[in-house]
Amino acid sequence: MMLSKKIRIGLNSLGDTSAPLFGQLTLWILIGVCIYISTEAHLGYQDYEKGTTVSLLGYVLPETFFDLPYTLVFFKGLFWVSIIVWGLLPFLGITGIWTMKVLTAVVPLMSVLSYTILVSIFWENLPWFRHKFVVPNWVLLYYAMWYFFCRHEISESIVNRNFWSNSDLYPRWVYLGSVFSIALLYNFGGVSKMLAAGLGWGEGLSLQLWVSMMGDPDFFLTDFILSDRVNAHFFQRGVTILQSLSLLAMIPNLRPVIGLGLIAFQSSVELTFGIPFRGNIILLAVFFLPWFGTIQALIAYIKKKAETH
Amino acid sequence: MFFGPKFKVQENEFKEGWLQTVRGRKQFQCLLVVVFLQISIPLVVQELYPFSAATMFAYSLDQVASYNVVAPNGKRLSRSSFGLQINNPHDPPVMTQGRYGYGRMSPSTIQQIGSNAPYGNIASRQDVFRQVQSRLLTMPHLPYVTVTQSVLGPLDNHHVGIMRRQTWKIMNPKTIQP
Repeated sequence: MMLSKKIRIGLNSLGDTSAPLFGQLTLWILIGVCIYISTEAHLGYQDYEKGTTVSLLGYVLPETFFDLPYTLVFFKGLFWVSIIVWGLLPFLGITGIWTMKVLTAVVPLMSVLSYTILVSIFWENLPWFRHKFVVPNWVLLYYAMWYFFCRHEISESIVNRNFWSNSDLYPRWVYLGSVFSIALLYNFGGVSKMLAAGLGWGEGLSLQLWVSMMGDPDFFLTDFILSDRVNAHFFQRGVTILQSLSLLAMIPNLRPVIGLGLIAFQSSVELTFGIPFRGNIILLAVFFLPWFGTIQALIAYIKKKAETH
Repeated sequence: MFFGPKFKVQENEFKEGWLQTVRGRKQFQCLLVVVFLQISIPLVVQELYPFSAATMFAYSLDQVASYNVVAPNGKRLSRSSFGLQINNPHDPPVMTQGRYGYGRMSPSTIQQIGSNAPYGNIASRQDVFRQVQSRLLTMPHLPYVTVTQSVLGPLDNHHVGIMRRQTWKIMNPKTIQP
């Protein structure tokens, strides 16, 4: 087959669709993750002197906007209300088709916009970065785009009560866009290390120093890493390779392997250094591990067994 | 075995693929823009929320100093009161496009030297004296403090530990001035 035809078939497959069960389940999990991490946004460091601009909105909106104490509270409230309404949309069919069309178009966009503004306000008032807010933001954007572009089909299906069985509702690009967004951040993590320190980043000494300064003495990896630089070298080099190859998760057969590696990496970071990335761990499990296919295969197997008996 | 949801091929009534439809093209163009921004902006600016190059732990260390400050009565004092703390040992501020640092400025510290090796430079005796004495000027109740600088680094090819430790008695300039 000619390469151009292969590419065309590949690109066309982005528009393939499925029933929205996976999309809606993952959306609810994403909503839970976003609400959970948004509770951590605060203005506790506002008495520190203003530093630099660290958000795109920081260049668009005046600096005083980020200093106002009630903007964070307002956008947190707006985000929570809009995202909860978004999660409930499949059950709001009684509102009628026009209301539903407006809700499916506006509410998801309002959710992602209010989340972005809320976290931008938080970052503009922090004396460090909080990277765990980034991935949920991008996955949320892909899901908002899903609802926006498919608003007519989604609204009609909800109102006609065939939302869950309509196999034309969840496009492949939403799923792959989410996988891509998660993998890309980890890939950048590997690239950043290479750019800042070259191949020498993974030689083990700096990991031993970080663990020595911040490591939890009760966690077994702390002792293991400090006991010999060879162990630290193995972990540090392994992390760089794993992160730099994260985009290979776009290949379905490699996705679970990379997902498990990244989950192990994030869990180790939390248990060793006490830096939690639980939202990312949940999203890695949801989008990289084959739980949905396994459950569906199990249900099909049980149904088949029941029919034969 | 399939991993995520099972997708079925989308074709319209004319057997056209997704990209041949106006709606498909619109969605694809939008996707292209989003993906382009996701890839390109972090490469240029590194950290500009919601764009991020995930710079945590990006800067490696060869050695690092930690400090203990003790009052004349033997009580241990906060090192940040003397600007001797490490603000973010794993997440140093990045320098891109004329921007350096975070949304809010971290408390100043002797440890924050340069952007390429933010915490790897070990302050000299003179630097530590200058730093601590400048802070002691605002603490007239302390005639002096005892500062211990411990340099953490490689002991051999396998282990890290305290490479050297120096202790200085630093007088408060307020109490020694005539």
